[in-house]
Amino acid sequence: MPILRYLLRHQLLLIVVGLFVYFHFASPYFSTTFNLVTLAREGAEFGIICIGVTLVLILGRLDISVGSVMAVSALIMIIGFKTLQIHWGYMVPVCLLFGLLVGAFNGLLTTHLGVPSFIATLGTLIILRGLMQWASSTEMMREANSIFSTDPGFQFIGSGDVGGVVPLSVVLLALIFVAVLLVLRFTKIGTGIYAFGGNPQAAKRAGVRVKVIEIGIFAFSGVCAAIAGILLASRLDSVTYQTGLYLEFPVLIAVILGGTSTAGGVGSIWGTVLGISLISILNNGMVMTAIDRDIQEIVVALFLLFSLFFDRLTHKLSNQKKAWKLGDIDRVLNLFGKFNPKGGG
Amino acid sequence: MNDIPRLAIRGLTKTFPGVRAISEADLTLAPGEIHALAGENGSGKSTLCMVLSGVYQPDAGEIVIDGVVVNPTNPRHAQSLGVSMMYQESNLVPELTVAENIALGHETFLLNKRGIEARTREILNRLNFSLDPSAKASQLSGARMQMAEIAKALYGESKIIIMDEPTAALNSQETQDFHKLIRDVAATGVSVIYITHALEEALELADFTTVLRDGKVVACRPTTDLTRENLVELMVGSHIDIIKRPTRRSEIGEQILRVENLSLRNHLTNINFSLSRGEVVGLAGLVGSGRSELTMSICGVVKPTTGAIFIHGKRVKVVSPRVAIRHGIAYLSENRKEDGLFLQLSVMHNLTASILGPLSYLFGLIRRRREVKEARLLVNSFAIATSGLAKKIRDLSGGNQQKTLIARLIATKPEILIFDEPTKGVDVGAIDSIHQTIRALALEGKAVLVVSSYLPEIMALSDRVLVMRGGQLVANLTAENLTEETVMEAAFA
Repeated sequence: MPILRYLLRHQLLLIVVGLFVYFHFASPYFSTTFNLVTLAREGAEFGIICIGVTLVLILGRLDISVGSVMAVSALIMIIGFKTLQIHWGYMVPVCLLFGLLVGAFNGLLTTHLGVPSFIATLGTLIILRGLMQWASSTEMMREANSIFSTDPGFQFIGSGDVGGVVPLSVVLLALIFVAVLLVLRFTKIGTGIYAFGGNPQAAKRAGVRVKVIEIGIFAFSGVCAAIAGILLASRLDSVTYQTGLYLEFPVLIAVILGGTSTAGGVGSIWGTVLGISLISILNNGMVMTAIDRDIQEIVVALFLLFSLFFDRLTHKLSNQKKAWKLGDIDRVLNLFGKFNPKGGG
Repeated sequence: MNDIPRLAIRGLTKTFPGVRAISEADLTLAPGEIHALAGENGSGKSTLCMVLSGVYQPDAGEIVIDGVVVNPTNPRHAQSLGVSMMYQESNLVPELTVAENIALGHETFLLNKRGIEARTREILNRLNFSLDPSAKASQLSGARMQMAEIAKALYGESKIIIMDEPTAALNSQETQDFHKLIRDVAATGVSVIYITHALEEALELADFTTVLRDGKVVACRPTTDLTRENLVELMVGSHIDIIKRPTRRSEIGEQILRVENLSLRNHLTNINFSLSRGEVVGLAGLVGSGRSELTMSICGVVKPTTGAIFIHGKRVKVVSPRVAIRHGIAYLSENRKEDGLFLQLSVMHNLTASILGPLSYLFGLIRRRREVKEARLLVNSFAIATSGLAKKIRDLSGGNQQKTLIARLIATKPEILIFDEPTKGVDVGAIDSIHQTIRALALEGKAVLVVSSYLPEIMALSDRVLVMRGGQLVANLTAENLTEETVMEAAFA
């Protein structure tokens, strides 16, 4: 039912606009130029991660390690640049390589060892979080966080504006967005991603290089998280063990709200951009209207549940005949009690 | 036709754990030849084709294409060797368009959308298929999906196209057009391997027909030398009589279960039948004919779309397996490990799982000593070979696992027993004992329904045989007209 999906997406646009208008009137600080630029700067950082995760979800996989990859990437940047005094220009590729390797490792775990992606990336998450905890108690990190960096080049990464107007993170988000859009639309990799997510067996039998694509997508997701980490390190000029903690939840919320299905095969990065806007405006607006921090978390969590419900609903409506392919969770969540037998016989 | 065969298979063998799916199969295919593969369910046709198309690797034997020994390691490799396959189940990606699906795996790095669409259109026109290349696959009907699959197999530069029941979803006109098309394709030198259950189709279309039985090639003949009758004979073969047809038949009493107008969307249409005390009714049909869906609909696993179930003349609503047990219906699923056993638990826990209610005090506290006693009784009366009640069920042999499941069912004291493939993956000794149990149940006055893909089993056990085809009951064969041939006729149409 494409009409319904169209409406749903526009409904999301309406919600985004509605939230914006609401916060505009609810807080005098919300729609100031300064706040909006900050919102865009931070939102784009978050958005870069969401783009990587969107691709993973279209593949029908899950990546919950992105928050910790971002954190460790920021850690590498901070320690390398500030404690070890290595030029940030050398540290950038190191961080990117780190993200690439962690992502590829996740991909290898799922493709070659058959570990479910949720478990594989959970493992990575726990390892990297452990690393953060350990690092935060070291002398190196204390030293790094006590120095203020004065290098203008480094400061520009996270806080500078290209041409004095657009934050660098927004430019990067736009570049990545366009690149991914082109790949999804105009190359066989794009078709392969949708094919693998929609029907892995068919993709494999049609000769799509499914393992290469899967490892590549996980690696890309890792790189996206690493980019966000670099931006964050520069913007905050410090890193703590809490950096990026639970970030995977708002990322998933944004992606799913954007119409990407956790069941795979369905999704677009246009939708993700709307999801990113929604979450960014919501987070920023709640700060500006001085809503209690704990309540903020509850609101975001409610959005997650709502978005999952939405996901099932839209998926069901658009794909009624195929609902049985989606696995057990879908059967449990099959609210309308439609049954489909396990084939055979 | 030149001297080098397009394809030669020699001594091909493929074993799965416990089963020899194909055993030393030979096959030769000339360029432009249409070659039908016939055989019963599980005779190895699909496995043979999956080996050819690179999905499985053979254990022994060789595949020679145009005089060169090849060994397709994956579907991509097979395609590059010119072998493409149309699978039985749908291989379309629902979210992609028809054109994208058809070109999948053949794209250039930068998609040439116009080129893909043009080539798709050309193939569709050649096939005379009215299919919109830009429609999403998820919006196609069954027959149209099949059309897309056919076009997909023709997209690449194939030398050999394998088709696994391509016309199953087409109507007769579409089938005729499709046959003409296959002949056109073959005339261009492409060889076709054609798996079909419709025997007439093989007889009409194929140059050669190979018959497989139990993984072995039993015949390979020019189709002109074959008739429908000897084809059926070759497929059924003279089965070794490991199953003796019992002479003692039980008394058939009053009707217990009646099913009226039962339908399940996309699977079953208007099923009517009844079961009576003391009879064993066989349910035959091809895989996919709806047998399991029917049994699941009766046992509360599946909710039928419409229809009524009567037990002792009273209408009952079987909404869950729990309710089914309460109404005296016991159901043995076809998938022992997935749907039946608690693999991590002991033999005793597996035996008593359905009777814990009667074995408990108030508030569900289990009377452990009675449970042990009951379990021991079941182990003895069903001759389950286990070193103890505490042994984990997964360490038992398939036959003993199956006996355990049957014992669990019978412990609920059911009146109606439904067995779906009761001897699948069970050793010969246990098969015999399960058959005796089934006959004994009928003698006790229970009603038994047995689903089996193994025709001799159906023949040996049943007082009456129901045959399903395409979601409908197409035959009710009683003793006077019950032969393997009549069952096969009905199942294949």
